[in-house]
Amino acid sequence: MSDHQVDFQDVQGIVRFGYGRLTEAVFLLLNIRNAQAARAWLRHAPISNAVACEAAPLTAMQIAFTCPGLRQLGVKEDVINGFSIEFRAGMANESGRSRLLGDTGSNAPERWEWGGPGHEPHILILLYAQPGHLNDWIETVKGELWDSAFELVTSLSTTNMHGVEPFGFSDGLSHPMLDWEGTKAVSNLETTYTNLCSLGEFLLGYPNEYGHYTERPLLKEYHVHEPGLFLAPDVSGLWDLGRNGSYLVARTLEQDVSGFWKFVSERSQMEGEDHDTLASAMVGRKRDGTPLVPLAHEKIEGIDPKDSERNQFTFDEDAQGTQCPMGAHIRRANPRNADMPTPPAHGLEKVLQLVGLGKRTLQSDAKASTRFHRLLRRGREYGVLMTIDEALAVDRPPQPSGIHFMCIVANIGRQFEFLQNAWLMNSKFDAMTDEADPLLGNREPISGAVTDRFSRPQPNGLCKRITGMPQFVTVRGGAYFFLPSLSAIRYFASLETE
Amino acid sequence: MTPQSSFLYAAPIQPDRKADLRILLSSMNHVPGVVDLRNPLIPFAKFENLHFARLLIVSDLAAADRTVYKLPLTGLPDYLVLMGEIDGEEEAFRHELLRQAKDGVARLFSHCAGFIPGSDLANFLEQSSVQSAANYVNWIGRTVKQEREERALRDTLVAFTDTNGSALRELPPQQMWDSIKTFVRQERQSGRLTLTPLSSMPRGWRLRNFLHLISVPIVLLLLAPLLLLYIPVFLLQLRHREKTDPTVAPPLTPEHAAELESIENYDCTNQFSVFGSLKPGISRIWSMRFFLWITGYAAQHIFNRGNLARVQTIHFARWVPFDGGKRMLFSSIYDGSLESYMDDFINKVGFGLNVTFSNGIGYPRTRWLIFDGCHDEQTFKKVLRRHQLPTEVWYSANPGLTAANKQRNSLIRAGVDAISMDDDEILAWAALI
Repeated sequence: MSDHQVDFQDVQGIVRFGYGRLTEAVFLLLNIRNAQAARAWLRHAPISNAVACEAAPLTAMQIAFTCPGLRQLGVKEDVINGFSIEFRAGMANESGRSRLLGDTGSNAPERWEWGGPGHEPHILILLYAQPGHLNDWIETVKGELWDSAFELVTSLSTTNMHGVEPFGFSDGLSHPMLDWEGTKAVSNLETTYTNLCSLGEFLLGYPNEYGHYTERPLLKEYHVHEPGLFLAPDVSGLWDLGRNGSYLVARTLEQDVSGFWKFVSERSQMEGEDHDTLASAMVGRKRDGTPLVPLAHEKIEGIDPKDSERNQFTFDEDAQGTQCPMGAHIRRANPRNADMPTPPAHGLEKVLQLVGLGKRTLQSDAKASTRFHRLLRRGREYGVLMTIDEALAVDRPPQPSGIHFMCIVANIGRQFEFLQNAWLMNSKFDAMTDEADPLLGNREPISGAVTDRFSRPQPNGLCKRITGMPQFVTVRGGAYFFLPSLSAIRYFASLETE
Repeated sequence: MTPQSSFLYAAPIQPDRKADLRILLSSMNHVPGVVDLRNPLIPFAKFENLHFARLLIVSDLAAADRTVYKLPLTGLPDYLVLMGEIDGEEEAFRHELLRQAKDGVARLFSHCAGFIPGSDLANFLEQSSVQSAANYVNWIGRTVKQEREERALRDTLVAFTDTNGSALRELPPQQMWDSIKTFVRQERQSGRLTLTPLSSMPRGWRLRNFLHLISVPIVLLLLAPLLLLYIPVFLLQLRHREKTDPTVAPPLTPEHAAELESIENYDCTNQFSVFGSLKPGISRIWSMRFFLWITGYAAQHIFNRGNLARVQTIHFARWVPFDGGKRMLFSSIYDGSLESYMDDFINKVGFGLNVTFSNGIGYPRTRWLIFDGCHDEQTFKKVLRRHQLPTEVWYSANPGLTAANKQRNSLIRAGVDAISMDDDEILAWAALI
């Protein structure tokens, strides 16, 4: 088998599929009560792989482990040390990391409902089913050993909002396309934005956008369990515990839907415009998902033709942000730029640009290249979907709504943490100042400088600026997980505790 | 405008007093990473010309890697370093430092070998001064005071244009610009806003700068015959080394990573200090010095307006040789998180990194000096992090301002000072506010 051919039987299905047809889902956070029972349960757990079926399956189940979970399961320290620093440190255990992620103030991990400092759950189990089948599926998955093996920390319920997130915007429209075939040749300098991403950005054991293999645990000793681990393609004689696995970042993000629409409605009245105009500017798309910038004429590599109406665009033609504000959510989360400064140049001017001597603006090189910072999003909504009128009418919603945000990345630091820090929470994104992500910002000042503004550049000079934005999204929980391959799970299940 | 300069005082720490020194240094902070401006040792905020300052215990944290080159592990002193970036000359600052903080500075350096209590401290500092091999200044001539005044200008204009936005947007560009300038004039007359007129650089500095500008090409021209003869030898030697140099990249410990992170990201700007050993050999030291000399020249004469090659997030940077060039300190002040800084490095100035750092032990293998190297992204980041010192004390005169913010504020100010602009220029200028 060549380096690039992926054995889908070894990959958990969630890396390849969103299980969109399986509209019922529940996420279980568990602690291991008894490692031996847990391993015995794991040996027979019905974990779904990434082999494509003709029809959507009726049910699916996926599993991921935190670092304390792996230890509890019996994974030895020399193996643990092969995992990334971020995974080993955990999302919530260090104040430095919390500052980096914007998990301060009301987002602080000490206030989380799950995953707070010292309270990382051991295991995350994702259960999906077609309508009406979830409860039976939960019982099937549990089996006989469940109660002796695990103790439930919390159960995260989800709601099918039919492709809309709680604020009312179409969500999950833009996903990177994974280069499963290994056809993409990466270079140090990619001059056009592409949505086709090296497999190694999302799956360990394959070349990433730098053409290198992301660090992961490799085993010196391993007794083959058929079908077993692969040998590492980049280091001879070591067994690749990471290959076909990845990291899964989970965060529960509660959305103040009522607060959002009340604020938007009040401010847009003051500006004499309708509330959709302001809300769309904050998101960068209309509620139905239409982007605020026109579609590109030329096809963008890696954009599925069926998504082209909502995804075939870059921000190159809107350098000033007069159509889609520079600070809009989608422009922060995915700037859609390549490795060259914007606007792109050719010939001698391009050479000059490369050494920093070309024509420059404040924004020329203000953003990093998108391709090193992509996420594969797999979250689900929870709570109740309200209409805007309902949101405006209620004082407090009867129950909280939000997203159980999940993303899959091979490198937590370079992908998730970078994106969260440098692009979303950063009040200095794209050479701007005083504003963080209009939806996700925690509005905490930094060094006395405010972060609670949102500016909309105008064609006639002065920008329109919203000040005093409240916080709309609050972090309620989170953790870093390892999403192992099925052969790695068999390895874990075969461990022994002393 | 006043040209910036830098200072760095280093003295070897007495080994048995290192722990005490660390405690004393930490007493200068509110919490690790946040300086206490009222600390009794050095009242940083009293120095009006001081952009940034830091105190370091300089020590090769990856000294164990030296064994791959069979270099000795003992006999390497750790240094106490007090360094900073200032407007004006080092000598004037040194006297001001002693006027304001003589006792504090003496107390800090009393942990060092060679310090005699009661002796002439000015002389001690002068003797302890270490020159850098290359220096980078984001914007030559922009003073601390100018940055503050221009920040206040922007804040005032933001408030004014937010309040009067709809009326101002109705006006033709020239009238809008006039209204804003009139408002600024009123604010200045009332004393609420100060904009000290920008003078040109001092004549002596301009002359020296010009002589430097032409002297380096002249020297290179004179050396050209020798250099041309040497280039083939150099390239052969380089390729041989690139293929055979031993590599070493032990893992970064989570404890070290956590210690560094614990003092970062309190501000939009962060400090960066790395220290390490160079691979042995006199020719390596010389080629390193040569490339740093060229780097310093480019920084002074080419990249002196907001960007070092394609990186625009560095406020100051310098390369400082220690121990006769066998070890090197690199320090910088940059915007954003370390991850974003390193990504900028790798993806935008990878060639420059390879040229200036590839002689360091542990640096990933380069190819023809400028290729590969840092593009082994994870190894590069790990090597850098392993050599990074936790800066014990760090002071910033204008927190909350990135280099891009400072530049934006200067552009806004330029529009206030301008005599004439056409309509398009006015609209582009107004969009900056």
